[in-house]
Amino acid sequence: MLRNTVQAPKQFYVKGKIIFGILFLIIISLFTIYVSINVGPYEISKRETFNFFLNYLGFQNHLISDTQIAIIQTVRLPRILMAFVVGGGLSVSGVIMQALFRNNLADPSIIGVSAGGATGAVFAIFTGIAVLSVWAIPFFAFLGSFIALFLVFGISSFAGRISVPTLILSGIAIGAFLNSITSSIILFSGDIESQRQMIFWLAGGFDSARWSGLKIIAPLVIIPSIISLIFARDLNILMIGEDQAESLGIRVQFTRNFLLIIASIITSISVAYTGVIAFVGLIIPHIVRLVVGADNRILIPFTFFTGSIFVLFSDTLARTIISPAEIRVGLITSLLGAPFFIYLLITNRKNFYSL
Amino acid sequence: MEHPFLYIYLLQIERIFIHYKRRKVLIKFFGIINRYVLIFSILIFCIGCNVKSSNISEVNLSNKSNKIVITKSELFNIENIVDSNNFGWPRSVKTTEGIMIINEPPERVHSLSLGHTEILAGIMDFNKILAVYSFFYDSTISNISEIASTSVEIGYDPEEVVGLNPDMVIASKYTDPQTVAILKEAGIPVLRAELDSSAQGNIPNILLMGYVLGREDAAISLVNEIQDRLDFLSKKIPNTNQKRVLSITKWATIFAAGSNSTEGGIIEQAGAINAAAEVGINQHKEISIESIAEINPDVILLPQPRKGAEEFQKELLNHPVLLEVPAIKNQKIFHVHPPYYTTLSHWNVRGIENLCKLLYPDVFSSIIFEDFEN
Repeated sequence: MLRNTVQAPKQFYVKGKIIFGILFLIIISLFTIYVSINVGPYEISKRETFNFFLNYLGFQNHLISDTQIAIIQTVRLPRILMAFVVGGGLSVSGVIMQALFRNNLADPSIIGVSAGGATGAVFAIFTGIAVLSVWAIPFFAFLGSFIALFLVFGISSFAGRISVPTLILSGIAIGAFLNSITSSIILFSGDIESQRQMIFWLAGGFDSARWSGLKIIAPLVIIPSIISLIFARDLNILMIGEDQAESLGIRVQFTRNFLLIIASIITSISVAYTGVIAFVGLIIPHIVRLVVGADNRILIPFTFFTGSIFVLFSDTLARTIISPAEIRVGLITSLLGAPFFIYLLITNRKNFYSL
Repeated sequence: MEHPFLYIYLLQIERIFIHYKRRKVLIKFFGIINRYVLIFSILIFCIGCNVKSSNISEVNLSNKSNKIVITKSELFNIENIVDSNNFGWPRSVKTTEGIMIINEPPERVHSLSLGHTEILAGIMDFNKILAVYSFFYDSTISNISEIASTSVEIGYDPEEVVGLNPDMVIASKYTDPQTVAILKEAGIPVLRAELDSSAQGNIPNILLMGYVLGREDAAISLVNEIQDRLDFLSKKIPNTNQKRVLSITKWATIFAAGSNSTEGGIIEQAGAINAAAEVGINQHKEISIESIAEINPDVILLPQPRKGAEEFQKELLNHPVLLEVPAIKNQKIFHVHPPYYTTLSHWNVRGIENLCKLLYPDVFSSIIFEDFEN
């Protein structure tokens, strides 16, 4: 009893801090979204952005031109929300992978899921299937990711268990193999238009974001992310080891497979609509872990919002830094993320080794 | 009769000698010399000097008198030519890798870039060009697709180039340095020639290539044709109400042609304003639909293959963000023949002519511009 009475205020304090942290991130997210709506090649003032929302909420007749409404509604908002959702999704996917494989280097690209998605998408463009339906590229990207995951999983499983080193190595091998297939498809494609389409698609970006795509991607990223939060406690136990998890009543194989599918869905659907945006899934979980610790119940929501803010901020920079021209978002994520990550590694060396 | 002035000159000298003979002072001296022997001797002397005298003489290849005519003396201004008085063999040019000495006119030539091959096709027999790459006969990229279709196709492996056993390889600044190194190690002379993004900027390059290949007369002829065409356009282009033109392509994402781009050079030479350059875009940069609204062009050009261009054109015409853009409102959005606008050769002039027809239909609609012969 004494122990409980001592711990209760501490738990309350911790929970309060978490809630405060989440609220803080939500406020920062909303602020970043508002700022992102405000900036871009076409000049829209803060007042006009505010008027747009007033009009949208039913308070009519506030001054804003039709072009400005169209820009916010059809260009900026879907792009901003897509960046937000994908950034969060890729980061959560990284958390799941790193926890499941108990490896700090694991992320969707390291186990070949991104490469599979890229191969699938490039195949759809190469065969001309991409022009038949707007669903074609996402479907093939998802299929590619899933095949890659299935192969990696199959190679590294033995007697119902997964060897983590084998999984990482087979992921690298499958990834390299799929990347070479992707390169071959690009090289052998005689149609220069398709070739360029493939190359620019691979570079990743949110410039082609549309509401139609967002309607598909948002639920397929947000719902799996929430599900992963539900499984966060199991993920914590799995991080200790599969034997211990089993002894604590966790259905190891089911949980692991289920979470891998969750991570794969998030990654493949993100890759399918935005191309390969590297680095986010690897560094954001580490950055957040250094701040909030390794408990996945806290880590997953914090990572989602941090990843969202980071990718949205990077994309906003990408489309405004040399406006009216743009640069690829992957360039910004690496330019911003890598030095910051190195800084955190240096300043938190002690904490990092204890993780 | 190639040099009539020389003939007259000799006759004059002969008359002088005869004049002295009549003065009796030189009768004794010249009496034993047959005047034909004298003429022959002088002729031999003059032939010795003839190479030099013909070098500095201007070869006017044009019949028109009231225009700028490029002459052989233009070759003197080309920095890369080591001795601009030397039109014999061997001749030397400065390259990025040092001085290159060419002992005799190259007979077996290979070019690693489309732009250079297009120039070569304009100044030499295409049969002497040993091979082409697959995209050289793609009519959506190349201006010499027809003539290239009968040539031997090779891949991008430098070994295949070595296998052609060329006398000379023309490379551009974009060519992989490793490829150049391999070819040089194989003992093949490689000339890295410039490729400028404007038709006029390519003139020194055309003259240099003509000099290297011993085809300077053909190069001068081509340069004069370029100059004639540009002069014709510049006289007819109206000076008022310059249109703001934006050249864009869509390959998964949208790219605009800014300053220092081929399309940009064409737009400016057609008397219009390159709208992308005006807002600070340099070369080809990715832009968004929103940027097009901000740039607000009067005319939009789509220099890409028809299939993609038609889809893109439809997208632009129906995009709610662009409804107020003059080019969209007035349906001034044109699909143009990509090779004219994107290649780095004299064929850019055809792009300028084509654009003039689009921008000033009142002036140019009745004029038919013909393609370059090759």
